[in-house]
Amino acid sequence: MNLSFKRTVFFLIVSSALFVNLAIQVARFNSLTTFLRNLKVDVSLVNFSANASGVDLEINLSGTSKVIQKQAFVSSAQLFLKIGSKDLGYHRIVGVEGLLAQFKGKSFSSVVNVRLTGYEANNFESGIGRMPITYDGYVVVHTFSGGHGLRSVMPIKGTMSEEGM
Amino acid sequence: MRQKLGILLWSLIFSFPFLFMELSILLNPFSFFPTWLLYVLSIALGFAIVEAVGDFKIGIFATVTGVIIATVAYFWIGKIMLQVFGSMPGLMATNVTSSSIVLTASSLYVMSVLGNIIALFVIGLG
Repeated sequence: MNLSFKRTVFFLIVSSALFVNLAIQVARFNSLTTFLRNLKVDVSLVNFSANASGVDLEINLSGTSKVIQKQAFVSSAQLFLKIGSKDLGYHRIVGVEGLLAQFKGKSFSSVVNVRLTGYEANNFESGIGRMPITYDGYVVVHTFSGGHGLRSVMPIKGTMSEEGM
Repeated sequence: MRQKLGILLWSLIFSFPFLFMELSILLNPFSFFPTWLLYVLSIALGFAIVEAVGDFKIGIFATVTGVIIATVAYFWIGKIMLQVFGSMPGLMATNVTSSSIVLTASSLYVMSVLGNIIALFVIGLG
């Protein structure tokens, strides 16, 4: 059991290759968690139209993060809407072909339609303009790195701003 | 006594790259190397430890002990990460479950032993 440097060279090469790979992984994991931590999602009401069968809401779902994440997508969102204290229902928003929006640079933006019917429409029509609409729910963010797709769920909560209304 | 210390030392030396490899599997969604390459490197590591020690018997013992040390460390690192991050990507959460840890460690260990045996044929008993 006499140690010689020549014999340990291969061991050191393999060890350092594994260490470099692990360091890259930790850096990538850190960049993803930073991206998700800094992601601020904003929901605003763009437009609405009422007719006999219900109310169609046009909602702009947008979000901005402080760091750029390559190949990030938003696939769906779940929104639990309320106007004042009255219920506007639970809405699952899915995009075309499973994709709602793609991040361009640091942000994404997508206009989606939500249809209110029955008592939800009545609640909306009696409250709009007088009471704020609040939302509670989550968005599903997908990122791709190292050949794997990762699904992350971001909880969101707030008051809907009413743009241009 | 001197030999026992040597075995312990080599086990610790072996456990570090083995732990890196296990953590690479834990963080596999972010891996730069494809997963199969990690298993190939595991064979290379099993070969390299016997080559570095220069003794097949101590090499194979250092592999066993090193795997045990690395796996215990991986277990606790995994559990602590699960606590700290709360919600982590699903694939990673699966990788830190106890059954996945055992499977990962044992398959990597088998690869290392293959490397040990290749070293036995190439280098001899030492």
